[in-house]
Amino acid sequence: MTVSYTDMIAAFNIGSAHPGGLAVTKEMFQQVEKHPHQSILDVGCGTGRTVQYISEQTTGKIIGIDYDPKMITKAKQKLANTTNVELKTGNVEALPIDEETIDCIISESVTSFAHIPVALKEYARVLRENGILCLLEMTATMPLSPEAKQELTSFYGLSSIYTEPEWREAIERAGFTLLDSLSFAPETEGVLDSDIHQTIDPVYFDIMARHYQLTEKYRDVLGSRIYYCQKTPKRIRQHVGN
Amino acid sequence: MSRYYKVCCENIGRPVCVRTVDGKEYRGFIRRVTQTHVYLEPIGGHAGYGYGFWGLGFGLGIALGAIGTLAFLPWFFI
Repeated sequence: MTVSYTDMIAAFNIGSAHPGGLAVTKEMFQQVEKHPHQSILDVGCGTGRTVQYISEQTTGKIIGIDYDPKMITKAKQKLANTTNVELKTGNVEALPIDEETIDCIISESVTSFAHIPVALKEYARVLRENGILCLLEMTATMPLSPEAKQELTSFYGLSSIYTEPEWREAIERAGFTLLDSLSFAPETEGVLDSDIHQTIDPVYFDIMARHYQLTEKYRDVLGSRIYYCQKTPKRIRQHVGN
Repeated sequence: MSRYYKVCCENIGRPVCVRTVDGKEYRGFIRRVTQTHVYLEPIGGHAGYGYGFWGLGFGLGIALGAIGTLAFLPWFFI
């Protein structure tokens, strides 16, 4: 049986499977609230923990998208009694969303798993002018050696691991203005349901242990950052020849 | 019954550092708990002597009565 890091996350039913956990989601949403947020899109919503939190904070419409139908099924169960939420399967590189219909996109450790420039362009397509994009992404604190990059991308199934300047460049190239970039401690608490009674296949524990070893090994070069981005208005984009 | 029984049961899947009363240290994820033992999926190699033993395919077994301290390790997801 070949199982991936993301399969392990699903097996343990880990709710906020991104650096910083739900605490960082809460911090990020405080920034979102300063901007129009009548329609919010959570790309790579997983089992819907972030969507659930946001639905408790706002009356706006929230759309959650994940490529894995099993995750969407779990999210639908979790959010069965919530009216302002829509959940569907989809790919972040080709979102099932109309152009310029979204005020705010939240992407929690999702974009690095996709082809980054394609995903960023796609976010720009569905956002309204001046719309906000919050990216929470693993960021290398210094350029990684080819061996380190290879070990990390193959274990996690990442397309790449960018440094902060690389993120900045990709974000601007996709038609965004980078408003702010903040680093934060990735550690998290309380992400496991405390009632894991069912037997979890040993293969998932093995992946969990390897995940832990890798994060320890690369502790000094793996950081986490939030990038607050705003879709640049069309007239300015045309002006700079974009 | 050991006071560690309940805390181990409630934290299956989490990474811990266990120090036994004779000073040995074990780091791993809690995989299984019985009335007498906790079984860890070790982090960083399969070393370990003293009270630890390899139990029936459930990882590294440590007698609950031999636990001196148990600390949760910080962790995060990508």
